[in-house]
Amino acid sequence: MKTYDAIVVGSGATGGWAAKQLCEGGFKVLMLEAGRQLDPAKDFNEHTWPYQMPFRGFGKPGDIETRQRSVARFANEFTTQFFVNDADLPYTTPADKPFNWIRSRNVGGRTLAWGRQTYRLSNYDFKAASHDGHGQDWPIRYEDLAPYYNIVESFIGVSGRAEGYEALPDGKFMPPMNFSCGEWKLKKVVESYGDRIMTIGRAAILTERHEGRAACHWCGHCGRGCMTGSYFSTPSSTLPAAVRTGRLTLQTNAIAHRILLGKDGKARGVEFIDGQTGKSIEVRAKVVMLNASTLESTRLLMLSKIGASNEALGKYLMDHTIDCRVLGFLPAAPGPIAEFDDNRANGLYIPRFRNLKTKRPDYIRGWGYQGEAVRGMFPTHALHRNGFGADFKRSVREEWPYSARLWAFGEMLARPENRVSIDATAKDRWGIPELHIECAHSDNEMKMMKDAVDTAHEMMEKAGAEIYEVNYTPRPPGTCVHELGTARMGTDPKTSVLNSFNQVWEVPNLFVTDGAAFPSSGCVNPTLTMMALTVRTCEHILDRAKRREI
Amino acid sequence: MERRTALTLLSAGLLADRIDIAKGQLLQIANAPTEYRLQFFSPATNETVAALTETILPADDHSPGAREANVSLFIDVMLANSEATVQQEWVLGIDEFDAEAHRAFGSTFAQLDAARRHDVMSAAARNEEKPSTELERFFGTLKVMTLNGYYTSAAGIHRDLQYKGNTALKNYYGCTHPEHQA
Repeated sequence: MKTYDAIVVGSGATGGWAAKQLCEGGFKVLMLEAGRQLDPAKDFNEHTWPYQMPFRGFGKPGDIETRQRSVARFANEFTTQFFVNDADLPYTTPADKPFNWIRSRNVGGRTLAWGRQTYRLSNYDFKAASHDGHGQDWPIRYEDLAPYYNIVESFIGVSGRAEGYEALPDGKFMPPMNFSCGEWKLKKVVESYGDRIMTIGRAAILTERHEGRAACHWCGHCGRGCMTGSYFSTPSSTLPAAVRTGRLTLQTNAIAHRILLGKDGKARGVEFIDGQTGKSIEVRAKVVMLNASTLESTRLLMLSKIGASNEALGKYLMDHTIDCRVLGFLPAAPGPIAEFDDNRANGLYIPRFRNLKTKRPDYIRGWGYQGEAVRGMFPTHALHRNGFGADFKRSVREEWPYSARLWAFGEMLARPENRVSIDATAKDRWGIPELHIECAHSDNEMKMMKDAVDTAHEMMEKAGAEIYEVNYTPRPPGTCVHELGTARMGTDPKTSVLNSFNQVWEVPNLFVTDGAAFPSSGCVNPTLTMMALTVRTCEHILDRAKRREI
Repeated sequence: MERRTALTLLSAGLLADRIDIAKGQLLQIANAPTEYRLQFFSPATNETVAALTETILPADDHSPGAREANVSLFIDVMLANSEATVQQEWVLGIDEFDAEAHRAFGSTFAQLDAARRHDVMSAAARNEEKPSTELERFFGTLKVMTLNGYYTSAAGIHRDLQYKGNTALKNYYGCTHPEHQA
């Protein structure tokens, strides 16, 4: 049987980077992807109009509720093909603790549909436990990861503006996108407080041609797939780089369900089910990288009985709070719209400003706001304006305010009771035991969101917004699709699953570099950090291989 | 995706097993409306709904109205696939409009001229923020479905709103007023 230098399980953001780095370092790599290869001509709805969709883009109502329960918040009619059917791949939760596990099984994973927001963690996050006493610090500092953030940003292309704001370190940026008029108005209010800033979203969207990829063509519909590959996805960026080395083998429909261990305690390969034949197949490698997504990587460790005695495995599950929001309308100059704003598939960002230099009495950690003040294809204001008839119709097109929205993305604390385990009886369509997920928000998140929404309300009012919706209650965990933790990094093999190089403590040639590794969640979108961890780990693996330690 | 519009349609309660049928029907409305066969409304009721939606969003010298945008056919597909309670709400609601038309002008809604239709609609819309009668409540349902149907139609997007995105553009310019940014 052929032995690869490395097997990479998963082709999402981190799997793509693992394949690229290891292939470029000389490794022969086998990448296992549980799903299929997408066909952009059939699977991308990039420039499709609502009236070309069966349900005008509103979604398949009953369908999403019954077949894709967990994607209801995240996917829409244009993108459901990027997500799994819950009926095929179920999971269990306690009745009173819903969890939305939103998954993709296709080459590129969730990078096709991701939100493209790209932020660095700071030492407020890496050293959060030292700052306020909750949980564990990361085993690395910002300074350890900064060079790898540079590598990732430089390759994938991130547009943004350097702000010199301590809690949101600057990166390697392409030219930033502009704000709308309404957003400039909001920015003035935000920054009048003195303790906070508002910047344009740092987005993995090319504002210039880069690494052979075309600049953004401003259709405004990233997340439905991009024919020009102008937002970062594995298939547009890292995967072609890995393929160019001639050292990558990509196996699709390969549903990994066990890591094979040798008598020496090292991983010797992976067993997967071929999704087309149903047969179980073994493949061998000197190194195994788990990049299957947070909960799938942990599920694989558990199914392989790795870390069974480790008290941290499966615990400390987190997701950012989502949907705590304030929605309103900001007045705009009257008259027909010359430029719509929704061809910019990016929004505004207000980084965390609470619990940095000062401390709140009622909660620890903080949140960032994502938002926008835009005029897009659907005239939302029409639904909130009284009247009908010719005057109404004219006013909809000529008195069109900015839809101003602030959403608070809050840090969720790492707590042992938020955990996953292998369900004793339930199995998915492949006969693989399902995951049982127990996860709920704590008092800390609820108090934080109260402050976040009240504060957003105040800022929106000061900006002159007519507010029509205020929501304090986060959606169930998982809905943010930022699931993190369950195999955390650390300095002690008793209280962590991975060491500071993302190596499984008890299996020296097995590495986990996706979101499972996070000891704490911070409040920024986590994909950039996962990719940077992956590059750092791959460099470590290649170094050790050179010294013949692997 | 606008949340309120999505929720509005979710609340229409489409049944999962009928969705594939509905798919084809909505595509047909978009591509070849003349070949569309009514699923829920009778031809007479469809004419009433076309008149109701046109009264909410009428044709003017700028753009077509809800009738030309086939909003009544969009509603027909949605209702054909909705639960009985939702269908019933529409049957009763349309009756309420005819009853109001009779009360005021002694005729069905569809038989009225545009000015009188406007008067009947005004009666239905008089308490839009806090509707208290069946007629007033149904006005809200009718209006949301009319807006959803019209502003996702080719006539609504291209001719009325003159929307310019969803295609390759040169740039996103955003605010071009230095005084806003100072």
